[in-house]
Amino acid sequence: MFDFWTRAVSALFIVAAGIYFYKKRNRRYLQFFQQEEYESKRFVAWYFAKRAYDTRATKAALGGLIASGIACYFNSEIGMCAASVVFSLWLIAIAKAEENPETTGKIKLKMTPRATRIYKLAFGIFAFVFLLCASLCALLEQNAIPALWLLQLVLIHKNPGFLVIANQLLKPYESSVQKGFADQAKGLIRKYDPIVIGITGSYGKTSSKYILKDVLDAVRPTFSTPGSINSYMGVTREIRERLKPEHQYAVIEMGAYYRGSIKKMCSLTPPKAGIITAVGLMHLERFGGPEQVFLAKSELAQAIPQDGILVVNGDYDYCRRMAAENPKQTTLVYGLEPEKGHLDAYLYDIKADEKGSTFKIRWQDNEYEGFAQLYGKPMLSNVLGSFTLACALGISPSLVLAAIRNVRTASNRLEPVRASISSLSAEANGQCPPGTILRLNDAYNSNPTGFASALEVLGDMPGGRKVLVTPGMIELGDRQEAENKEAALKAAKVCDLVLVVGETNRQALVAGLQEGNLSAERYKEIPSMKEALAYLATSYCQDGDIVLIENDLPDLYETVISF
Amino acid sequence: MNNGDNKRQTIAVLFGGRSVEHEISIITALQMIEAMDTVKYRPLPVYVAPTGKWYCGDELLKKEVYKNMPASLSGLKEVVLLPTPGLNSLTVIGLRSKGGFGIFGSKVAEETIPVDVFFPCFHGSYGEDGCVQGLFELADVTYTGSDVVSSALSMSKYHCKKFLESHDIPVLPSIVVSKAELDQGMGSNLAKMRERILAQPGLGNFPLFVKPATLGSSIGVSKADDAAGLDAALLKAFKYDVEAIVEPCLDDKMEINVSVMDDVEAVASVVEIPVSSSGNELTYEDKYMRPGSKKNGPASSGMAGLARVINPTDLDPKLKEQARSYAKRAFELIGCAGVARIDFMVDLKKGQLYFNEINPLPGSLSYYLWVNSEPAVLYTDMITLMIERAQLRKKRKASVSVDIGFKALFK
Repeated sequence: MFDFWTRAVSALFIVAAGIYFYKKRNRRYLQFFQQEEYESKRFVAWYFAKRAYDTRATKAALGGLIASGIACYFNSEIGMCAASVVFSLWLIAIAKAEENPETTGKIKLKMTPRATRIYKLAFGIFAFVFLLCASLCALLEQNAIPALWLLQLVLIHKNPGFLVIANQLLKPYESSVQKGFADQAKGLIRKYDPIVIGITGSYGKTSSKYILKDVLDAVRPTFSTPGSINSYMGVTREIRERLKPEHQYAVIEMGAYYRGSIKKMCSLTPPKAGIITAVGLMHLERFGGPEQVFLAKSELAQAIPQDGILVVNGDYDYCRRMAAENPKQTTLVYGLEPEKGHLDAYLYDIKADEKGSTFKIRWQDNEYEGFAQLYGKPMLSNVLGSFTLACALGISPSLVLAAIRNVRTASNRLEPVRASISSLSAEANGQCPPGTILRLNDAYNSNPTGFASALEVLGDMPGGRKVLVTPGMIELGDRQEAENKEAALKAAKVCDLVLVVGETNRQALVAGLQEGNLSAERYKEIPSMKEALAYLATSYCQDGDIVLIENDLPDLYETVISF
Repeated sequence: MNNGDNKRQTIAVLFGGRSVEHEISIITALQMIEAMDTVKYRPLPVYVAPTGKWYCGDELLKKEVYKNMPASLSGLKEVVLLPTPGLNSLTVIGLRSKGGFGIFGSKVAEETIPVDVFFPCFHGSYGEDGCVQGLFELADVTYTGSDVVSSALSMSKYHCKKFLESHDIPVLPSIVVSKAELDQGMGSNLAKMRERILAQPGLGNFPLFVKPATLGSSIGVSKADDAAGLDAALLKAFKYDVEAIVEPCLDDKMEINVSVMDDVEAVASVVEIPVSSSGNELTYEDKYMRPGSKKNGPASSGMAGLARVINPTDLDPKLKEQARSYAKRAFELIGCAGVARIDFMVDLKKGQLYFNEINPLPGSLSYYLWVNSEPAVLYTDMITLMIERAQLRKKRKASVSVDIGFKALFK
């Protein structure tokens, strides 16, 4: 009888600790699953690539296994029970210390209905498997407790697997839910019938969207999706929640995730006009080559009706080809490089100062002077694209330029912010020197062209010491190393200090900096963005310094995560 | 709800609202509730969310509520003020039916919260401009501060200036332009609008000030240094209002403010000079983001936290007196009640004072001016006075007879 009770207590502790730990831990995995957009394949690839295996709980489970195994060998029931209780408590303590993913990390976990469904179903499967196996273990009588610990250990490592299984099982349901939502959104678009302007391109989609929305809003109420929302489901949700009858224009950012995704988006929001901002090196990994990227982006040009408006960035040969292959009633080419061929809208004479950039635009045989609180050729290229499309819609160029003067994209794309030095550091401690810095945030999805022009702006800017903080660029396929090295080489010429963040591109960046003869005390390797900024705030910056933050990778790519 | 203390009067403090100054209104209200005489009064916070829904509950006194919206609102009671006269209470809505099962005719529970006086602490649209005052009038309840007409006139910068100008209070030249004009012809009228502004007497030279016509704060205000800047400034103002007002920008100028309260007759506070961080015009950040002078201090203390010089000793006493007297006249001419803040512009070259604008519900209710006035008025006493004056006005109004007859119908 005594045996029964000690084993029951042991089993109870092991199972309770296992379930509690599972519930805590799995929410953290769910955070990353959500960031991978519930793509099981990408999530699994991330799991192995980042070695996001458990290390914390393994110790407790392994301890439990060994201790109860030894006790079992010596036939000590009380020893097994004591070992189980102690190591279960340890496991519970580990679980309790798990970070809450809804409040930590750069991209926090949002318990959306879908996330909740996956989480709950995964828990159901886990609990079923755990309890079933635990009952089977009970049949082993004498060896039941060590067997339970072995089960615990195995399940700790299978933990994220349950999310994947639940996700796969829910897929048919999710797609039927999504279809319902998409049909509602399509109905709204048909009912209110705004003039849809699609924007796609390898870079500059989101900025162009912000600028164009601001410009169109000056004459007519305009709908657009907030942030960088550009997926089919993201746009569907925004339309259902926010599209109003008074909206006369809808500016829709269209992300190309795979061949056919823009075509699908165009069935949701049939465009009457479109801007192709670039066909470049982004997301090469997903597509498998620039030709494939070109074909994916061409889907927008194809979806625009014959009497529609197509505006393309002539600085990219692929864009020019797209315009040639898909001629519309109004086809316009804009750009900053007239040597590439004919330009309908040409932006030149860029001068940057602390307030922003002045420039000139040649459009329909007239010359216009403009100003924007924005920097860098890629950003001004976005300004020009929006200018061209707005003018093509019949808005007067002077009004467009007036609206552009006011534009603040608030999207972390080379935006100048005057900030106090202490604002760099997340922790409020009184050790920061007084004074302000000019902070240039170019923190979103950096690419070679953008990186180079951000450095150009940094170099041209009058003022104090120039600091670059960057984890480098990602998703560049087999060119990633070379491109990062190249960028670092350029940075070495411009910067007084370079902070290399994280592990992902560390070697390539440092190699580039060394090749550019940047002396060792002028660059530093720092594990995370937060620490890098804290270092600047407390130990480096002086009044008047200029800090460029080039790219800020999601936690997914930073090395500091541990499980 | 009443907890048995029938002696204390319930003061519904309304704040938030569908206004760009939503946040500032929260600060004003929380400060005000803190200062209220709780021996006499029981404050009832009523928060109007950005959606326009009204919520009440003591939870609203904690700042965390506003951080975790809209989730935090679900725990609060949603209330409305019905336009029916005589109720003198807020009605709780969205209650689940209590007791009774289906076929026995489940009765929807109705809960009302009796209110003695409504104390609006809104700034800007729908709360300071006569809208909510209109609802108070319909419901025939007692409320503090200005009435419908005086609130509306105060908040329309252009109409207010023209009205006071006709009563010989000096104002700067101005013109009002409408967004409707731009909507025609896809913005091609922008150049015409600009020319018309520049042709207006007194507005021929840059720099010019462009402001949304009915907003009280600095939001949407910009200075235009040239024609392109004017175009941009107009579009910026039109983001926040369908009308914009354009005024000259004096090159050597100073802003001075005076607060006026209604007592048996209007009384004026000391004069203050608000100080901007950049030496230019006050920005939203100047007004509200600088934590009560202390570095890394806790949270913003609203208008009360602004850097300012109160009762500046080096300011010409004649100018101070003039400002106080114009302020009282403006207050009375417009017919304001409660407390208002009147902002003047001083042309330092000519030593000339101009009326700039009047805020019928000023940030922090301008208490910071009154505690420094001679004689000093404590915030607590100020609130009590405002409530008592409101009750007096209500009584006076009740004596006005309303004859509603049906003679014409049944002749």
